[in-house]
Amino acid sequence: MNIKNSISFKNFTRKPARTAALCLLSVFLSFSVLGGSLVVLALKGGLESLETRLGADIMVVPYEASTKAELSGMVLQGNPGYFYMDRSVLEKLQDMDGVKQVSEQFYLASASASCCSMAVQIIGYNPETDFTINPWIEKSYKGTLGEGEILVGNDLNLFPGDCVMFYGTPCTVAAKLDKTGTYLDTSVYTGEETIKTLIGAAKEKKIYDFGEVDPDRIVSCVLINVEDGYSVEEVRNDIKLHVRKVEAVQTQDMITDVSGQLTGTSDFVMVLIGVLWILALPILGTAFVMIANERKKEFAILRVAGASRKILAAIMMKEALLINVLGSLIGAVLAVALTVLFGSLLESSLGLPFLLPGAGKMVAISIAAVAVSVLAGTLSAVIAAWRISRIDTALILRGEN
Amino acid sequence: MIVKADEITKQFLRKRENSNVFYAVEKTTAEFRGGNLIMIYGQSGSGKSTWMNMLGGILQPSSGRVLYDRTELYAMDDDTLSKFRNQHIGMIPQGQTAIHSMNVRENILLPFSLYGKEISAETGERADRMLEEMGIADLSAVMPSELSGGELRRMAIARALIRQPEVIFADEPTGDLDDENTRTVLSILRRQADMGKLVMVVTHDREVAEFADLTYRMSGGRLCLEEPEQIV
Repeated sequence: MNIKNSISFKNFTRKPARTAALCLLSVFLSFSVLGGSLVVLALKGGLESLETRLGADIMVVPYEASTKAELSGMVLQGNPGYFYMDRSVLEKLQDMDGVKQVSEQFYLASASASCCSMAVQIIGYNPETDFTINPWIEKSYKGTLGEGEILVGNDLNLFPGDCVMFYGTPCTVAAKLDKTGTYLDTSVYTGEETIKTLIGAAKEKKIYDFGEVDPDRIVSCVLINVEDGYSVEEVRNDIKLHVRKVEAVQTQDMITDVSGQLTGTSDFVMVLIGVLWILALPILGTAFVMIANERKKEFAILRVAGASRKILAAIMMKEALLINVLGSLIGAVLAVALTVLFGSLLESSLGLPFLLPGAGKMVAISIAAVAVSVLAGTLSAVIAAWRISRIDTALILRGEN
Repeated sequence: MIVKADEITKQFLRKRENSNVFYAVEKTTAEFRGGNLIMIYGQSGSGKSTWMNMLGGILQPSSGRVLYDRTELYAMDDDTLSKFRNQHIGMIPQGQTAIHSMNVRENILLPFSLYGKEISAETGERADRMLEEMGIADLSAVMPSELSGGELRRMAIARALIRQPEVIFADEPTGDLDDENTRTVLSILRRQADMGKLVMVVTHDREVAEFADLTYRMSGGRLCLEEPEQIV
């Protein structure tokens, strides 16, 4: 049967105010379930990504940078941070019991002045010892970074081959990294040699005086992987005991904190979805019942024309289906659009890593959310359909019901 | 087609002085043959519409049987009875009975739309002829809210006749029409009877008698055949 000729479709299209009002409730259902799911999944994705990207058991930072707020702010939100400690720490840590791998990183913040194309966190790492960034960049970049070459985080508006200026030195983008949903997406990565070049050029051109900052003598942090058979806690305590003026932070602690916040936020979102559904579904169901009551005469006429009780119920259910398909699709489009467009805003306001699922997964989740919403919304019309199917045609035509 | 009411009654539960049971139609047996226009008249509340609804398959009698030839109407399940109504019975209910989300032509084609069939070219032509016959051809694409009472009534008649049913019931078809529209509607119904259909008109309007072959009076739930000279 041509749907355009169906009674349900005519009611759906020719009563725009009624259709719009009912669609709006359906929009709430699908928007809340899909939007909420995407936010929860993005938070979980961000946490998983953070766990993977941190990749080290312990982060050793200068004592003055050790306040949890500062470190978390840097790691989770990408707040620029630069702190330094003596490079000799690296050797001390290498020699300690239970330490399997160490790799140093050097943090430099570019300025928003004319010497630099943009203000970003520049992270210098040692490609030879690194065990956190290399596994991540393998997919995007197979080569070895030469001097003056950089890798850029996914959120930066830079692409391979682009040239950017840092402290008056031109740097070429070698690759753009996959999205992680963490501070890493807004940072720039390069080898230690390039860091030295940048600092040297800044001093030479008198753009910025870095003072005592010399990558040959200092580092910003040391990442440590613990030997199997050793407890991370023990190694950490050992470091605190034997290495002065540093703080050793267990990355898992940071993740646990984030995880706790994430659970709280996820629970809140789920409760919000629940409340919206508890409100919207009965309202939708009641609206269908009210509309069914209003349209009793119309259904009585259909009955007189030969409609069975099943046909009356089917007409009502088809109308509910059309309304819910349209409403759910609008809700889904809105949910995806708003989550994608305002993801960064959510990330910064929640202070949590936020990584939306890939396009394929997002489409699958959207389809599932639309299906759930269409099903629930359509089922809310069951009472109305049942009532319509039980109408007493003769009484209604006499105006007594 | 022969329509037979076999000892049918209809009672409702309503507060009355002596009893809670109210007989809208007392036990009645009657037989009606195709080719006749039957007029049933009586006062309000006499049981005319109840009688018509029982014979039309939309109100189950409290007792007794309704037979269409040998087919017992209320022995069928709802699906079968509804389809039977759709194919064999054309009913013109009292009052305005338009579906307001459909235009005039779609309202007329409603009995075809119910069973999910595409409207064939032949059916479409029949609808156009019907619109022409009812004098509302120029209103084909107009929504019911724009029609007058007479036009709405003619639309309802066209809808009842579109499937060319053997039996046609009309409840107060001239109720709120002027003289000209009354005669138009009654002529249409008369033509159906002349084509061999059974047409039963329930009315207050004595003018219908002029078009009727047989006239019955309904009074206190009892149906009595009246001779022409008895109709005042």
